Amino acid sequence: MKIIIVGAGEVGFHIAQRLSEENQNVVLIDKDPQKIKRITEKLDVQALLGGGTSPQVLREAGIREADMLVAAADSDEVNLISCLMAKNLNPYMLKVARIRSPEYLEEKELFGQDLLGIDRVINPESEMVDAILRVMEVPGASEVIDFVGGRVKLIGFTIPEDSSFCGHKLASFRGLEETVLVGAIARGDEVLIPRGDDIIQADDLVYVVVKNDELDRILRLFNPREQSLRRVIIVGAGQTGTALATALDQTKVKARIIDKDTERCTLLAEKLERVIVINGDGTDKDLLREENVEDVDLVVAITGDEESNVLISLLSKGLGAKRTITRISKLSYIPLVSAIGIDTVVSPRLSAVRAILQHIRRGKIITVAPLKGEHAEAIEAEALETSDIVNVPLADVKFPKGAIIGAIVRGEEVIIPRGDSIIRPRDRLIIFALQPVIPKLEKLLTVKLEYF
Amino acid sequence: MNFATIAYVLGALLIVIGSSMVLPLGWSLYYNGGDQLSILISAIITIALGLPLWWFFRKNTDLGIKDGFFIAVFGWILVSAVSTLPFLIHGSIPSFTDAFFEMMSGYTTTGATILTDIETVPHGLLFWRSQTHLLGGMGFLTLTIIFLPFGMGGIRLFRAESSPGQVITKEKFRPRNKDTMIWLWYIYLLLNLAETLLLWLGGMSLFDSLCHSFGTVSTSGYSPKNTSIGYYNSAYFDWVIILFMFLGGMTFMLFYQISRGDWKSLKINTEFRWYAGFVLFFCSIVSWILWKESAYGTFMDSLRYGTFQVMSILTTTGFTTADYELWPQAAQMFLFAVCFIGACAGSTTSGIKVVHYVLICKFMYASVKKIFLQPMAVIPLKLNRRPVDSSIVDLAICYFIVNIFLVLGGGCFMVMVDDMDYLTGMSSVIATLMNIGPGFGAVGPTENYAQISGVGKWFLSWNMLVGRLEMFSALVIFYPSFWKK
Repeated sequence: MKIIIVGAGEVGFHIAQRLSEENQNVVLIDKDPQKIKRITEKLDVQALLGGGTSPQVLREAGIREADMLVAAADSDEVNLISCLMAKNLNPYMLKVARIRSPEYLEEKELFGQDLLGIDRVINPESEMVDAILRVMEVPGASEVIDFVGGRVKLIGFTIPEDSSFCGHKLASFRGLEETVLVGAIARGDEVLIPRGDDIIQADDLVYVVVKNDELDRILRLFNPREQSLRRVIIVGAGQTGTALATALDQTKVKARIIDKDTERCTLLAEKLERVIVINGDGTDKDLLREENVEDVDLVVAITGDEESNVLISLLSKGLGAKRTITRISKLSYIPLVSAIGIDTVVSPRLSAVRAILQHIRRGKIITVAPLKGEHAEAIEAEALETSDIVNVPLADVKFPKGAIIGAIVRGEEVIIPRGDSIIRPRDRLIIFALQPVIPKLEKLLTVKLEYF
Repeated sequence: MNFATIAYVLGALLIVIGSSMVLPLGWSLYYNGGDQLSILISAIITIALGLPLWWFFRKNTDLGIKDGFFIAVFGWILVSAVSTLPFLIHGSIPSFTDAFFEMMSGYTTTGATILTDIETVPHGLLFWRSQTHLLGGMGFLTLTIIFLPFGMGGIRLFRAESSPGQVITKEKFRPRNKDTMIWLWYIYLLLNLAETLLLWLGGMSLFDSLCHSFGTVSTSGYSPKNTSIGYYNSAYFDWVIILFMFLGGMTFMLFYQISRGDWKSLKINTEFRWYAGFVLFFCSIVSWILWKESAYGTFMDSLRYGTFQVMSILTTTGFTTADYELWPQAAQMFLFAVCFIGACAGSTTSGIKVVHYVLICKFMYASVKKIFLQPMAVIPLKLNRRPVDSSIVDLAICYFIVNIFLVLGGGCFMVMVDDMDYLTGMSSVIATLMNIGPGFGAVGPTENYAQISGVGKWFLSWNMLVGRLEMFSALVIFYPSFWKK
């Protein structure tokens, strides 16, 4: 598959890196010679110097035989124009564009096939808001990903020391086989796809597949003390903060939003009914204490300044807040902040990378979610009739090592699979896989192996 | 430096070289010249040396920039050393110094030989001698990389083995390194095949056609005949070889673009236009001198001999059809000048290369204009219709100056260690550093390098390596910081 990426910023670089590691043909276009130089030194991709909006450069990048264009430049206008050019040069290719300005996002019909032909518009901010809201819904979770329209959830949470599962083998979870499945365990820096004899340890970040209607019961089993969300403090009333506060305004959650900017606070306060707007400095310890941070279930630090966000989260944790969500832009910081005790990290760039990667996966793959550190992915895919995995018991399927089926969804029914379960054509599958086996898995899912 | 990975790559390299000895083995069995056993033993020894290295270090694939240079320099030395085995075991070249010189000359596509009577060497060994051109022309490291699981490490090796000029012209015409290298080899082998067919159809024996094709497309110059191409005295062979020397001197990326129907790239490529211009200018002027001084009877003959010799030296091939030392002085002077050209970057040729002249000339033109005529003018340097970064111009100037230093310094060294006239001393260095082969004086077209002393041979062998790795890759190991952690 040949993919052209416009813009070698953090998002573009990151996607290029991922795809080149999976042996895809990637051409990266950027105007900055310095960035191009760095990429030729670092990545096994073709780096072209030039503007992503120039038809000449796009032609040079081989747009005629490309399968996909990812417009991930910093400027919305560049992204829009390069999609427009691409549509004219190669009408058959898929086009994904990163668009951030609300002015464009409000005009959905602009992006359709007739004018710009963008197949998917990715707005990092709104992807991030969705991610935060999903985490809020599930107490104790540090990450929540919806599959099959929310009927199956993938939940990542840290195992506390007093959990009844701590120190037990996975195979010993009698009576739970049909309701829950541990798909991946992140321990320290590594991610493992577990087998029956792997043991859960305290402080593991486990990813489990759960049916939506059994969510509460399972959560209580894993993490007995956790209660549902009641009090939230949001620090930072930018685009994300505003969207979040507006969403929480409709719920029973007691939310407060803090921002330094008086004018912004006034505007926001006029819009909101129940959420309390506070004009002050979120890094101020006294202010946080006045707002009873010690009783708060969740502090969301999403100011524009990532250093402040980290400080706010650490401070609130020190003052007694139960959990924190921290916004960080620089992708390279993410592993570091997890190490100093920050629970959940959200990043607009990471959200953009995820959303774009979902579209790149070929075959009938519907949703993809990179797991911690991106060493592994959760994939939602449809089982094709031609695939080797259908109509045989799972125990007999030659599944690549490092991949596991987390759930099978057949019509209304959700099956947590066992060795004797059988996949039927058009079933939806949720699969966990380590990154290196993903190309193999893609082949297995699309066509029978002998066709290759 | 990561010595485990280095050992792994060197191991793989030895296996590739050892396995490639199968081809000369086939020819030696066919001709039954008494060299079968020596080739077989050499192949076994080479593979036996490589297998354990490859096997024990196969988990290491972490390749840094320094490792790339280290492998390029020592890999070439190691491969040349083991490649002497067939000659040493058979005894046709008894001295290790001589055999090493011969093999280094083969791999670096120089074509300078120490053999006085080539035709007495058995066919298997002759094929092996020519086959080193085939492997060295495109670089056997690139061949090895195709089979190794390197991502970014691969491009480091590729760069260490290829010219700085390739950084200027875009080396990567496919998104993935491996694809790029496979394409390069594909084009290269196709050119070899095409030339073999043309020579064979013209009546040359298959063995000779193969050997001469290996020598032409890689612009190297070993011939299985004592009098080189002059042996056949055939206009057809001369013109076929002229054509393929020209093609071998082109940037291989252009073939890729042409194969995709993009003929415009020939017009856009500045270096190609200059290359064609150089070829046209020097071929016509030398032929004209030959005709005017009536060195050959007809105009067609003057054109044929003149063009052949100019192409052979300009593309650093080194085939000969005539003893150009008997030519008029003016023609000889032009041939001497042509030694310093070399063809395009990203081709199989060595030497200074046209792209560096393009940059330096444009830079000189712009500088003079700016200083003396229009001080406020903004004059961008353009290559392939695109502006060039000033650091690349610096690199080109630096490259040119390093070449001049090495030629002058090397010439002085050769005259000191060897009892020879200064023309021989200097032209032996030029002929090896630019990977041409034959030079002037006592290393001229009718002589060879046999009479040069041992020290001189080792020094010239080193020069060939420096020339093939395009100076910087080989010289970087003399920086003290290269060896520090």
